[in-house]
Amino acid sequence: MSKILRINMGAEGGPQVSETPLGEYEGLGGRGLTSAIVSKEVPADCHPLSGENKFVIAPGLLSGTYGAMTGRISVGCKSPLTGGIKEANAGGQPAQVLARLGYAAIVLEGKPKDDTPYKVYINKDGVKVVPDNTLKMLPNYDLIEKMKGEYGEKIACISIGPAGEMKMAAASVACTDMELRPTRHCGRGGVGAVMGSKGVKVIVLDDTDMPVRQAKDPERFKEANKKFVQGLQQHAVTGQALPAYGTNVLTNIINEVGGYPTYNFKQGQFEGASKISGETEAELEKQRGGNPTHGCHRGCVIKCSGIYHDKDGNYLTKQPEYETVWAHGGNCGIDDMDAIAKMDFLDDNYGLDTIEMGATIAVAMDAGLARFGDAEAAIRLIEEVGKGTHLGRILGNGAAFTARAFGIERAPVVKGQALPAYDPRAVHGIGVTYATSPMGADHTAGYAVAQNVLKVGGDVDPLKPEGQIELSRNLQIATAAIDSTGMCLFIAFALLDQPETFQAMIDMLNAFYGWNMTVDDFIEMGRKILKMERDFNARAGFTSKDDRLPRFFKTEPLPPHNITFQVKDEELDQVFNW
Amino acid sequence: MHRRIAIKISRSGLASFYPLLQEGIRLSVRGGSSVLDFLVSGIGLDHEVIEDKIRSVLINGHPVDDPGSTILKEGDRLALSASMPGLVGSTLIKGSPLAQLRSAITYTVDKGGTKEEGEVYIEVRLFNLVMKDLAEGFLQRGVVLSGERLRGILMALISSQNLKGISLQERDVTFQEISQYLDRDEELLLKVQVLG
Repeated sequence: MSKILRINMGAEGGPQVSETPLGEYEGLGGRGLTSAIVSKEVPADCHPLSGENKFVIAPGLLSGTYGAMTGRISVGCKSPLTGGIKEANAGGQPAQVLARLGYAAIVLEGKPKDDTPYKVYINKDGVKVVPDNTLKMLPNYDLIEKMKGEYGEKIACISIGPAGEMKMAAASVACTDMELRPTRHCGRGGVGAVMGSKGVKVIVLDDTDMPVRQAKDPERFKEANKKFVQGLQQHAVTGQALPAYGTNVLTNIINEVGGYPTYNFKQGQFEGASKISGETEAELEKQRGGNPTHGCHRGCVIKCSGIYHDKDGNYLTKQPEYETVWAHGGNCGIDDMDAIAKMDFLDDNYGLDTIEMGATIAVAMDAGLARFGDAEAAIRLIEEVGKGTHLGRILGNGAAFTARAFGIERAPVVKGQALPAYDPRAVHGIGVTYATSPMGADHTAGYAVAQNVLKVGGDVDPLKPEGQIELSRNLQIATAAIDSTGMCLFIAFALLDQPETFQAMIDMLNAFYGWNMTVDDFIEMGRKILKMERDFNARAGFTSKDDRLPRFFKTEPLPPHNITFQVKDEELDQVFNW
Repeated sequence: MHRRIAIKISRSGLASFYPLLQEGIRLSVRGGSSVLDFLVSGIGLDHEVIEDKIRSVLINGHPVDDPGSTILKEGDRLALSASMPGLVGSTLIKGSPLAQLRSAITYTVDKGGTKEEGEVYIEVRLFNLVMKDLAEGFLQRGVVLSGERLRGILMALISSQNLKGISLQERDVTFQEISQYLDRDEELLLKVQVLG
C-alpha cells in the first residue's frame, strides 16, 4: 500500500491515470487518509459536485493483511448533503482487495465533459478506465451481475446505483460482500453523488496473484492478532450478542428506554418494536433458511451481518441493520419486517443511504404524502427516487430538502444530515456528538472508547455535568483513530471493557509497520484527524451555530419520559476545546 | 387465584415464547423485594449469572445502576438485557462509566416510598441473550397471561410438534379439554417444563 492512484476524469482527451507515492500522507489510512487528502487538496468553498472536489477511497492501515476485522474501506470528499467534510465507510471485500493491489488510496479528480459512465478495472497488470454506456442507470444488483459476467467471480466492486448517477444528496457508494452482492454501503452524506459527478459508475478490483500484505514482524503480528481475536470472542457483545442478532439487537432496549425515535421523532417508544426486533428478525431468518450469523468480509470474527430470505425462502436482502429497521420501521410507524427488508433491498439497489431515506420518508409522511404505518406507500416513495421522478428527486435529496420543499418544520437533521436511531432527548450524550461531529448527525462518530478513557485529554469526573462534553470529545477522538485502521468499529465494545484487547490492536499496528506507537500516540492520531476535519469545515464556512440540534429537541418534551435536550450551547462549544 | 396450567415442551419449543417474553410476562413478586432479591430468590439465578449475563436492568424505561437497592412495586415493568453494542448500548450497562451520558433518564431510588406487603405483580421483559439463556427459569416459575395469548402459543407448539404434555390444576388433559378456558376473558397461571 505504498502508492496513491489518481484518475483525472476531466483530463483533455479522456481520463488520465497516474500513480504517486504516499509522501506526506505516509502513515495514514482509512479516514485518516481521506480526511488528510480532502482537507489539503479540496478547496473548502468548492461546489461538492464540481471538478474541484475530490473523491478519495482508502482502505485502512491493516487492510489486506491476515489481521482480523480489517475489512473497512473509507470514502471521503466534500459532502453535497452537509457542505462539510465527509468520511463514510463500509465493510465488504473492496478494502482487502484494494490494499493487496498495493494502493493506499484511489483519488478521483476533475469532472468529465459528458455523462458517459465509466468503469475502472484494476488488477495486477494495471488500471483501465473504460467508457461503457451499457451501464447507464443500472441498479447495483444488475450492475454487479454484469461485472461478474465480464470479469469473473473473484472480484470486488465499488459502485453507485441510479441515485448516484442522478447526483442525489442521499446517494450511497456500494461495496460488494463475500457473496459478491452490493450490500455494504458507505451510506452517509451523499458520497454516491460525488462519485457520480466524477462519471465513475463502478470500480472493479481483482487481486488474483497478488500477495497478502506481510508484516515487518510476522510472528509478533500473528501473536497480537491471536490475542485480539480472543478478546473479541470472549466479550459478550462481540462474541455473542452481535453474532446472534446483529445490530438490530438494539431495537428492544432502545425502545424500552424511550429513546427510539418514532413517527418522525415525536415519541420515544414504538408499539410494534418487538415485531421488528433483532430477536424476531433472527428467528424469521432461521425459519426461512436465511442466516443471522454472517461476516461481511473475510477476516471478520464478529459476524454481525446476516442473510434475509422472503417467505418463500428466496434471498431478499442482507439482514437489515438496526438503523435501517428503525428508519424504515419505527420512525415511519411500520412494523412489517418483510416490508422493511424490501425497502432495504431497494435502498441497496438504487444506492441510497437507508438512514437518510427512512428519515426522509417520515418527513414525507408528516407532509401528508403517505400515512404513518403505510408500508406499501413507503415502498412506492423509494421507487419514485429510483426512477428519478420529480417527487423522487426531492426525496432523494434527503430529509432537510424534503422538509423545505413541503413546508415542514420538523426536519431532524444536523448540518443537513438526518439523525440516526437514538433520540438525543433520552440520551443527551449522543446528542452532544450529533451536534458537534464534523460529519453532521452521526451515531458512529463518538462510538469508541480509548483505554483509560476518563483520563484522555485530562482528568475527567464522569459524574459532573461537564462529564458529557469531555466524554463526547474523547469518544470522537478515539473513533477517528479506529476509523483509520480499517478495522470494524464494533471492536470498540471489546476495547471498552478489555484494555488488553486494546493493547493487542496497538501491537498489531506496531508489529506490522515496525512502529512504537503507544495508546497516547493512537489517540493523538485521532485528535489530528478531527482537527483537520474541523479546520476544513471552518474554511467551508461552518461556525458554532452549526454545532446545534434542531430547536424542537430543546422545546418539545419526548414521551414517555417527557424530557428535552438540556445540554447548553456554551457546553457544546467546549467539546473541541483541547 | 389464577387457574393453573402446566405444559411440557421440547427445548426447541422455547422459541414460541420469544415474542411473549419480549412484549412482557406478568409475574408475582414478594412485596418489598429488590430487583436483586427477585432474581436470586424469586427466579433462582446465582449472583455470577446476574453480574455477567444481565448487564442492563431497566425499571419503567429507566436504567438501573444498583439492582440491590431498587425495590419493585405493583405494576412496575422490569426489562433485562445482555450487553449491547454501540455508544448508547454501552451507557445503559448498570454502573457504566458512561452513565453520565444518560443521566437524564437514570432510575433514581425512591427513598421515601412505602414498603408494599404481600404479593405484587410486575411485568418482566426479557431481551436478546437474556431471553435466550434465561427464558426457561422464568417460565418454570410461572407467568400470568391471557387465555387468548396462551392459545396462540399452544397452537405454535402443536404445529411445530414441541408440545409434550398439558395439565390443568395438576390433572393431565388434552388441548381440547383446556380450549374452553382459552377463550374466556380470564388470566391463567402458566408453568413450563422444558424437556431435554
